Amino acid sequence: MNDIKTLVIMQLKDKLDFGFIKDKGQTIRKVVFFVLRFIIVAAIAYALFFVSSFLRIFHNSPFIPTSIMTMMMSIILVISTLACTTELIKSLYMAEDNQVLVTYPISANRIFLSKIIVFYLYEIFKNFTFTLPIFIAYGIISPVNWFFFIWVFLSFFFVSMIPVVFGVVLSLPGFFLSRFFARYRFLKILVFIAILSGFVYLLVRLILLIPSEINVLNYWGPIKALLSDVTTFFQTYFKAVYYVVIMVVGKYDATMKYTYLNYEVWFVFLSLIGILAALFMSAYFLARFLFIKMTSVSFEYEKRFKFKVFLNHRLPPFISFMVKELRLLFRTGQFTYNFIATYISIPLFILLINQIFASMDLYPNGQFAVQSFNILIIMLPLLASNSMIATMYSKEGRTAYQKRTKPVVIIFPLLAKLIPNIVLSIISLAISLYIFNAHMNYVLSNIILLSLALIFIQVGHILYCALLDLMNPQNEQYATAGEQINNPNETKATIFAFITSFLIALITLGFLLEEQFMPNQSFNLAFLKILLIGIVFLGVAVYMFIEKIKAYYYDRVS
Amino acid sequence: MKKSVILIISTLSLVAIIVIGLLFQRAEVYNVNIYVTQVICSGVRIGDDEYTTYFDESANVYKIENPEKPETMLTLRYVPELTILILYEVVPYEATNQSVSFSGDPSSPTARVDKATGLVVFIDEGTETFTVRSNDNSNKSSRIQLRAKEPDA
Repeated sequence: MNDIKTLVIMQLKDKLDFGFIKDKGQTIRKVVFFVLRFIIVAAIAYALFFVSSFLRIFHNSPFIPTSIMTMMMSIILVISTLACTTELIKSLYMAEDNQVLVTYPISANRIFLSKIIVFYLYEIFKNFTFTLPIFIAYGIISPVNWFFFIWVFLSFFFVSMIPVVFGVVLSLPGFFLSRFFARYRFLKILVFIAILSGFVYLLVRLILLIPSEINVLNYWGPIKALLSDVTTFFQTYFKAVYYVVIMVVGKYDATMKYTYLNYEVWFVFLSLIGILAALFMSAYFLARFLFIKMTSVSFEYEKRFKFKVFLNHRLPPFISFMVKELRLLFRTGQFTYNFIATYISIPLFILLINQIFASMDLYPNGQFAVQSFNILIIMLPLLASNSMIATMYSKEGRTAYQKRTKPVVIIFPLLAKLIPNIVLSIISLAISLYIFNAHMNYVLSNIILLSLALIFIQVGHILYCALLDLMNPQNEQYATAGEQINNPNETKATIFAFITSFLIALITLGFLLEEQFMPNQSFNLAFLKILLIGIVFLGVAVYMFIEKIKAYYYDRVS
Repeated sequence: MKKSVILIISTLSLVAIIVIGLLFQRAEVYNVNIYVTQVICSGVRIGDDEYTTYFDESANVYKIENPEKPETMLTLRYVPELTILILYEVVPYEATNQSVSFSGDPSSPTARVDKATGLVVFIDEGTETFTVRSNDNSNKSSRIQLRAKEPDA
C-alpha cells in the first residue's frame, strides 16, 4: 500500500504545486486563499438562491427546489466526465511518464491504480473548491437536516468518484476512437468541421428564433414558469443525477423538510457504491491490459507516414518560426479544441445577448448599460481564454531551452507563438463587434475607435499573459505531468482578465454616461478616451514584455 | 477556458438580462391597471413531486388528478404535518398585480394554510377546501380541494 501512496504523492506533486508546504507563511497564505475562495463561491451561490427565493422564481414559491441542484449537478457531472475521459486517455495510455514509471520496482497494476487515484484526488480538490460551496449555500437557504453539514463533506468523496470511474470506462472506446482518428487525420478534420458547422448553424437558427419583442416585466410570469419547467425537466430526465442529489441533501419529504430517514437516500448511497465498484472493476480489468500494453511497446503512435519530398526553402527567421508554430498547432489539435471553441463562441454569445436586448424597449440609461455590458461580455471570455497563453511557453516542456541556443533574436520565437492567437482573437473580436454594431448602428468613426481600443487591450493582455509564463516558467511540471497541472500563471491571468474586463466595461459606462451618448450620434469623445486607454494599456504591456525578455534571455536590463 | 469562467459568464449574462430588463425597460402601459381575469390552481407540490389538477365543474373546484384514473380525485397519503404547496397561475400573464393570497377555514381541525406562500399543513386526515384570491381589486378567485387519508392497514 505504501508504494501506491508514494506513487500517488509523486504524481500529485506534478499536478498540484505542494512546494508551499515547506514554507509556513506560504502554507497559511494558501489555506486562507482556499477558505476565502470557498466562502466567496458559497456567498455568490447564496446570493443567487436568495434572489430566486425573494422573487419567488420557482413555482411561485420562496422555496428553492431540489431540481435546481439536479440541474447544476447534471451540468457539472457531464462536463467533469468529459474532461476526465479526455485527460485519462492522455494520462493512462499516452503520458510520457509511463515509460519511466514502469521501470520502478512495482507492478504495472499498481502504477495504473495510482494514476486513477491521482485523478480522483484532483476531482475531490475541484469539487471542494466549486461544487461543495454551492451545496453549502443551498443547505443554508433550505430546510435541511443538521446532519447535512457533516454528511455533505463525506458524500462528496463518493460523488467525486462518478466522473473518474465513468472516465476510466469511457477512456477505452475513447482511446480507440482517438487512435482511429490519429491514423486517418483527414477524416478527423472532416468530422470535426462537420460537427462544428452543424452546431454553429443550429445555434444561430435557434438564436434568431428569439422574438423581436420581449418585455421582462410583462412576460415575468411565463419566464418564471419556463425557468421552473427547465429545472423540472432535469429532475425528470436526469433521474440518476436527481438520486445523487437526494443522497447528498436528503429526501424532500411530505412535511417539506429534507430528511435522511428515508430508505431512498441510503438505497441510492449503497447502489452508487455498488455501481461504481462494478463499473470500476470491469473497466480496471479491461483498461489495465491496454495500459500495460501501451507502456510496454516502444511507442504507441505507429503511423504510416507518407513522406513527401520538398525542396528546402530558406525563409526569413520570423516566418520560419511562424511556420513551425502553425504546424505544431495543427498537429496537436489543442488549437482546435481550446481556441477555436472560444473564438467561435464569443460572436455567437454576442448575437444571443444582443438579440435578447434588441427585443427590449429600453430607457437611455438601459442603452448605456447594454453597450457597456456588451463590451464586458466580448472582453471577459476573450481575455479569460488568454489564460491559456500563460501556459504556452511552459507547455513546450524541456524543448523550450533550445530557444536559448538558437542564433536568432529571441523575440522571433516568443512572438511567433502568440501570433496565431492574436490574429484569431482579432478576427473573433471584429466579428463580435460587427454583430454588436448591427444591433446598435454606431456611426463608422465610433465603431472603428472602439474596435481599435478593444484590439489594443486584447493584444496587451496576451503579452501580459505571456509575460507571466516567462517570469514563472512551469516547464518541468509540463514535461513530467502533461496537461493537467494547477498552473498558478493561468489563475493569475484569469483574475487579471476579470479585473481588466470589468474595469473597461465600467470606464466605458462612465464615459457614455458622461457624454450621454446614443448609438446613432456622430463622432463621440467617449470612444477616443477608450482608445487612449487601450493605447496606454498596450504600450505598457509591450514595454514590460521587451524589458523582461532582455532580463531573462540577455541577462541585462536597460 | 475554465469551467468556472464559463459558469460565471453565463450567470452574469442571465443576471444582467433580468436586471436590465426589470430596471430599464419602458413600461408599455402607463397608469393603466391590467386586472386579473382568472386564477388557475395549476397543481400542487409535495416534497419534490408535482401533481397536476383538474377542474371539477359540478363542484366548481380544482382537485388533484389521480394519474392512474384521470378526472378523478387523488387522495393523498396522510402523514403528520403533511405539507402541500399550492401552485397557481394568473390570467392574463401581464396583469399588473399578479400576487394572490390563500385562505381556508381558520377553525378547521384538519388543515391550515399560509396566507402568503400557499403552504397547506394537514394536522389531521380529512378533506379541506382552500381559496386562492387575486390581490388586485378584480375579486377573482379559485378553490382547490385537497384530501389526505392514512392508508388502510
